[in-house]
Amino acid sequence: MSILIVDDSPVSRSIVIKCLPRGWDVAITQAGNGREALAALGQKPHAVVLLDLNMPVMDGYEFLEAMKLSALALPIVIVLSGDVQPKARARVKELGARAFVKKPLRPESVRDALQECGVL
Amino acid sequence: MTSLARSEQRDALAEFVNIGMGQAGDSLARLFDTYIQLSIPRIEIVKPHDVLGAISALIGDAGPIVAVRQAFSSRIRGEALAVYAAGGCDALADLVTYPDVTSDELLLDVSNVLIGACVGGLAAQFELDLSFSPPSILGQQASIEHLLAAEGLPWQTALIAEVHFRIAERAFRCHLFTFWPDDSMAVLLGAVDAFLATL
Repeated sequence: MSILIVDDSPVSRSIVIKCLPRGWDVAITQAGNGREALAALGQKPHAVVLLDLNMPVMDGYEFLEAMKLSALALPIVIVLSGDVQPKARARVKELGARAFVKKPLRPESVRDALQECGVL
Repeated sequence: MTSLARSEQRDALAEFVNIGMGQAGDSLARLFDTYIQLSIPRIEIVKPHDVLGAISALIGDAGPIVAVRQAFSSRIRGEALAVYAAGGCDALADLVTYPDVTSDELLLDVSNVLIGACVGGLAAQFELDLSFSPPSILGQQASIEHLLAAEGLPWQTALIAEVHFRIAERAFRCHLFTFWPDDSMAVLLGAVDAFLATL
């Protein structure tokens, strides 16, 4: 399986990778914003996208909107964000995200979200 | 301007401030009963003589400002300043869901939430439980230069966190500055390095 991690912060992407289930056999691609993520998905399909919201160039909301309009197959999108306002969660769900995990990330919360989406 | 932190350290601090901002945004969203749009934080750590330059680079000529000051302490200590354009939070006054609040009270409340969440959130990442003094208004209609000359700021190192909050299409901007004695900054950066080593 291949997954795409989208976050503008390299440290944050490292934290995401560290929180993935141990021994999970996945190929990981990284993108620094929504636009890079769209480019990565255009090159090859990914089963899961782990998406930050607050990013420069193209943020997480804009990425979800662009995905809806594109011909690309919609992967399972799990949003990882420090924005814990209920409206942020509701809006990404409306835009097609399957799960929301709040930062700071814990391995258990990432695993729960992957299980909730039927990925694990 | 000489940065006192490596880009990796700034990146880690920005991520933790980002998480703190998320919590601040949630608290403000409850206070104002509306969605709070958060910016991507930027971090710089500099010596006092570089602070004015760093602030101008971040926010340009801010004009008259109002600032709220709050001290924090535990194993580390320092002072936080929340800086607003003159008028402070007045643009938000009509959104407040509790009655009869004065503009000073509103300013203190909002600052308390922002500083507690951003600085407290940052420290909590490193299991440094901070206590905060009550916030006080440091200057009204003052200049940045004037505020930075205020007595009693522990003036060895400044961690500048640029955070913006936008509320319901109103231009409301706040910048947070924190000032640290050298030994406290060393503890913070040491904790950042220890964290980075686990990645």
